Amino acid sequence: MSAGAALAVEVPVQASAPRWRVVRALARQEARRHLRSPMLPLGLAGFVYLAWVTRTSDDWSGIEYGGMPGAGVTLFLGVSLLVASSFRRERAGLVEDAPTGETTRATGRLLGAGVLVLVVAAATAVQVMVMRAGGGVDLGDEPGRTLHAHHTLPEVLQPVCVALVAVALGALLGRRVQQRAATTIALFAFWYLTAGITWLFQAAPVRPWSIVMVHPVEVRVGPHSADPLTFPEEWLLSAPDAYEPFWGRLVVSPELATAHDMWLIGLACVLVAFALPRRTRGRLLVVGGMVAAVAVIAQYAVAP
Amino acid sequence: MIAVLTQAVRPTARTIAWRPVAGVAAGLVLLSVLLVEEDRAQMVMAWLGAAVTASLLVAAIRDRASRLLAAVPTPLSARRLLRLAIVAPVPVAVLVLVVGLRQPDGPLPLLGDVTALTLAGLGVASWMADERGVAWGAGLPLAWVAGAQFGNSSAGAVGDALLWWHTDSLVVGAIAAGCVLLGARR
Repeated sequence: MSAGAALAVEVPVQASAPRWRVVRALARQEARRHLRSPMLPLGLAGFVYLAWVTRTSDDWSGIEYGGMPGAGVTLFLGVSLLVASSFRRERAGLVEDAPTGETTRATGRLLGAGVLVLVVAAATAVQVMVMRAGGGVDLGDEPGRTLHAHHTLPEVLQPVCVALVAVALGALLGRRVQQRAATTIALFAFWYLTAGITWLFQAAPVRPWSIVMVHPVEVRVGPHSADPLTFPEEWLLSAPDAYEPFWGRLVVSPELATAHDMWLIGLACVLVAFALPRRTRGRLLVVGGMVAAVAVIAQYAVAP
Repeated sequence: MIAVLTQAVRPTARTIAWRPVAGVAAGLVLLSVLLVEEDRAQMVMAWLGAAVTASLLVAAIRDRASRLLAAVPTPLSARRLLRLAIVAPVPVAVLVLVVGLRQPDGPLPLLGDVTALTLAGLGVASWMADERGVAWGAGLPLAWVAGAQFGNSSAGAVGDALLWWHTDSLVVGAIAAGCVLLGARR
């Protein structure tokens, strides 16, 4: 029997296999590829380094608390690049002859990328456990200061939600952008700005649209000349400095952090939708868009 | 040689991927508009602009037809130089106009940074096999600037080396140019 005839026999067998089995097989294959890539240990090394820098730095009070989500910047970039590489294979001409549809393949690729989200979740869990093992972290300036601050659950979940955005963005650019260099440069610029330079997006009007939200939020409570002893003693305070020449109250808002996590999930759905074939993206686009819109409004509503 | 390259300008320009160039230019303009009021962001813009522009320039030397053209008498280095000369004016002009002119020291240090990073990337690209070399070369400016941004608190030689492209751009550029020349003559 010739090779062509053998293929003609095999294709219907593959096509009639239950869809979930195909998706599972693809996901397993993709996950294995991701775990073997050198990009992942490189991203993890960057994460460990940045987490260590924020832990040992005494540049300002609260650097470790506020720097928790941003420490994952190299990990997020690595996740995006890996997923982009995975979805880029969808652009190879051979896929047109594949016995499974693009939606099935995309589902397999996305499920395979789930292993990367698990890696980010595990890394974040270790980071938070190290902080907790040390009795909490430094936050605030005298007289409103604590040495035992702990992140709330929505804050801890933020890096995981950001990882979902990283997967979605990688899928979108890998699938839709032709040039690999353009994808790499765009992903670098995106993560450099949004997760690397987090203070750029923490002003009140743009904060709900940010990717990495820094907690706690600072609320202005008095001028430079104010006496901090007149503020309620349970407040955490931020002393005036060169960039913010006023007394501020540091507010940790689990409600705001929850709404921001929802925004990230909605955004990830919208981005993934554009990586899928046109006929299958509708529901995800609508649901993701609605979740993102409600979450942004909620953030403005609950912001301290 | 010059006559051949002159004739090759138009067909080469048609094969260059202009969308990434337009994307980087549009991104820089958009960011500079959004951050026009934020003085603290000017250094961020300068470093990011230098990294993406240098990476873009190195990536631009990738020629999909390089294997086909390997048989022609025009050397690879000359064809790469031509591609670079065609692409470079647009992103560099945008970088200078929207970022460089807002820098406290003017656009010259920024141009030095871009030149050093680009030559370093080209140096890598000229010493490795075609496709892989361009990929690693284009990644170098991004990795170096990211290392400087996130790792500049490292003490000693490592911290200094991460900033060489900025603090010693002339030296880096000269060494990298030497690497490019030697690599082209291999």
